[in-house]
Amino acid sequence: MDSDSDRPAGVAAAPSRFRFSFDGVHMALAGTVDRQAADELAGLLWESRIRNGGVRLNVSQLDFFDCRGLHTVVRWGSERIVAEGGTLSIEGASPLLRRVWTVLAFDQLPGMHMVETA
Amino acid sequence: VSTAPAVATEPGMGYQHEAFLYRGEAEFLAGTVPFIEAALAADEPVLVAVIKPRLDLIADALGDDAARVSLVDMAELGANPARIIPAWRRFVDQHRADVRPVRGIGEPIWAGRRPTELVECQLHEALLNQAVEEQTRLWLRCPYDADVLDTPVIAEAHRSHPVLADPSQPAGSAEYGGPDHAVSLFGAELPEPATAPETLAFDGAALAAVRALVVRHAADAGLDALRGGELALVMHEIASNSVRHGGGRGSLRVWRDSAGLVCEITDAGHITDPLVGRVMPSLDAAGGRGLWLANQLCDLVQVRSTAGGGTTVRIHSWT
Repeated sequence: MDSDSDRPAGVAAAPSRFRFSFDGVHMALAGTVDRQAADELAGLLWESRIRNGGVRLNVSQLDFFDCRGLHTVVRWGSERIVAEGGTLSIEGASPLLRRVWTVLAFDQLPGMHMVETA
Repeated sequence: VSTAPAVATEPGMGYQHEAFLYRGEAEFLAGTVPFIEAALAADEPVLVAVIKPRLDLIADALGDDAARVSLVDMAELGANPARIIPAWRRFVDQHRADVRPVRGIGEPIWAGRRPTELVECQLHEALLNQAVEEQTRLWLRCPYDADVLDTPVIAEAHRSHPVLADPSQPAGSAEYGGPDHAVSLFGAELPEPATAPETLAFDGAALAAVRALVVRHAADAGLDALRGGELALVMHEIASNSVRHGGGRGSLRVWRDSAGLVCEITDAGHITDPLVGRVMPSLDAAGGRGLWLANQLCDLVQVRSTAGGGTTVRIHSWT
């Protein structure tokens, strides 16, 4: 069961507020990642140090993720993780995020996966 | 390039998009089954996208050969007609129609389509002339049920197809409008709402307000949380386009009509490519995903744009 399934995905707690944490393996993204936040997120991602090639990104506390934000993560994951032989697993995605992931064909990218358990 | 109509004949080395006007089942089968069988005899791939009752007619007539044809229910594939062009592009890419002939039958218009769907089907038909490269060896036949479709719909089929296959009018018609016709349909004004919409002017700092308004109306209209979230994301993406490409700001209007919920964004920008939203964005593109996403997630998407008149994107959610 996905605990996010009955939350209106477009409602933002506060505009352009997101939280980010990363210990080199476990990454968590929460809040609202929209147009303004995407550039800030890109900076955080590209400055981060990856400890091993299997990064797990938890998005279960994410309220809103737009295409720009999603592409920021996909691009970083492709160039920083997958190109180096690693994988990026995205955990806790809402039904909406799963749908968007497929519609934009990100599910065809090698090395990046949506996984069931958070 | 001549826009003079031709009677349906074997196409040359390139793309042929033809309307096939039929009256009754027998004529429908006469204009489709031998067309398919000739392709199969030459080992050409065939994709047939028509609504279920006629799909069954074709399958029955083909018998065992039906297994060699891709049969697709157009009521599903073409529910939002903007998803049909990507399907033809996938078909020609998959089967290398740049080097070998392939055939298709596509019937996007049938009696019972909502008026707004019909208008988008007609834009789709006009856009199909530009959506496939001239040298692509796709022979595409579009059946029109002349018994039940209104005269203006048949007249529009004449304007949007360079070639006509009409058993009762073998000389065809001189009405084909060429690429200019698609541009004029893409620039046409949409009808004003019958009820007063709720309006929100927005800029880049107000996208959260756009999402919140859409979510509230989606819930009021009875859309479930997933559809409401999809609609809010789509309207957010379109509003972001207004901020980036449409003069930095735009206007959101939301209202109900007899078919469901309507959300619309207008801005001062100009979209020059009428095929916008019908081409899958590449995986590494930084932007350009909003209208593709809209067409994949939403029931019906109407995009209109002119050089002086700005851009309107109207999204319908059936309830």
